[in-house]
Amino acid sequence: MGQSTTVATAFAAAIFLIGIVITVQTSLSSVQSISTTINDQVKKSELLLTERCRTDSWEILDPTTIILYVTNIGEVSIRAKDFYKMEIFVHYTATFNDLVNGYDRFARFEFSNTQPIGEYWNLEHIFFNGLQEEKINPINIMENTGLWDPFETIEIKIHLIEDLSSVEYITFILPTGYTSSSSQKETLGSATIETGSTSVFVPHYFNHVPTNIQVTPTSDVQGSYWVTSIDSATFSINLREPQALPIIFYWRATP
Amino acid sequence: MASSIPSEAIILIGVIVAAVALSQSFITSMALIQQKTVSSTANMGDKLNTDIKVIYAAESGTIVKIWVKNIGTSIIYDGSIKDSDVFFGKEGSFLRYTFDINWTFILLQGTDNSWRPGETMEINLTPIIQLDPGEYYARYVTHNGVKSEIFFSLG
Repeated sequence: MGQSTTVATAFAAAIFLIGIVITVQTSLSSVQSISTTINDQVKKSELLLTERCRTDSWEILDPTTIILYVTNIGEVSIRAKDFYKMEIFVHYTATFNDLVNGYDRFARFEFSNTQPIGEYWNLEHIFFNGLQEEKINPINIMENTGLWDPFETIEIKIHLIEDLSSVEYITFILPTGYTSSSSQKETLGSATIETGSTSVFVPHYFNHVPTNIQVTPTSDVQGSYWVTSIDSATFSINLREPQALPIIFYWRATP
Repeated sequence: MASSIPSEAIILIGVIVAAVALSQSFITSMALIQQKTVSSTANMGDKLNTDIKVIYAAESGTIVKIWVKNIGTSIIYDGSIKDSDVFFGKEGSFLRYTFDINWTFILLQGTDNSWRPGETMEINLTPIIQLDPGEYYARYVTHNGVKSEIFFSLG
């Protein structure tokens, strides 16, 4: 009886030990897996909380190009390599009446620095504290290297495939899904009154009459100058008398 | 006691056989539990690593376009996207739309059939309801149950 009991006890002990080993192994493996996942989640959450941007202003360069300024107001830098994960949605009024949508349009723009055919956006300049410079981690636009650091403002060009008459809404989306939107703001640009002429019509890119228009000549003007003929599409800059040289005016219109 | 030796041997053999059978059964069960636990943990990890966000939705002619961004840390493959669900409609009366019949998708960035973190997918949905002016609701649910939704209105 003694030997059988010994054998049986030995087997029981062995089974017990194997069970403990398997249980401990499984638990450790599960804890490690969950721990790794939680670590990844924490890093992702940190990024979601600290990656921020603000769409500042835009101007319409020409009927198919919008210039947009976006500032990194977050706490982390965004890699230039990740620009392709950022997109822009623009709601605008086109000059062409599409029989399905009328004049209202929206379009999605993806990043590209190779000037493809079609709708896209590209990076033009980087500003820091209002100056076109980068203090740290300079971005090489052609190579797509560098970092968009906090407090840096990027100047973006949005290229459309059709003419627009006004922009209503622009939404800029970061790789984390953070969304920054900007509704219709003032537009600005420049216009030239040629030698011998006394007026120029300027499109302001709103679809209604602006509440305020300011113009500033960039050189000496003989006589006075004023703004007239303000309507929902254009306004006119006028001179009292023709000038000896072309006069460039900077203008700003408020919706 | 000469007669006790064979008896002893028979009992010993019987105990060994019983012990082997029991241990085999026990080890098999433990292995199954281990397998299930590991699998369950892996699924939990996959779900924790998956996150998506519907970033935009708008009408485009007769279809509705919905853009969804992968804001998680895992790659979602082409095959898994086909197992996901799209719900669309007016609040209180939205319907589930079937992939390939009512909606298709395009992975907008990247060069392969993988929806990588930070990349956006465009869903083109053909509504089975009339798109009257009003507020609409769209929800995208991944293959493993992670969801994101958006309310938007049509004028």
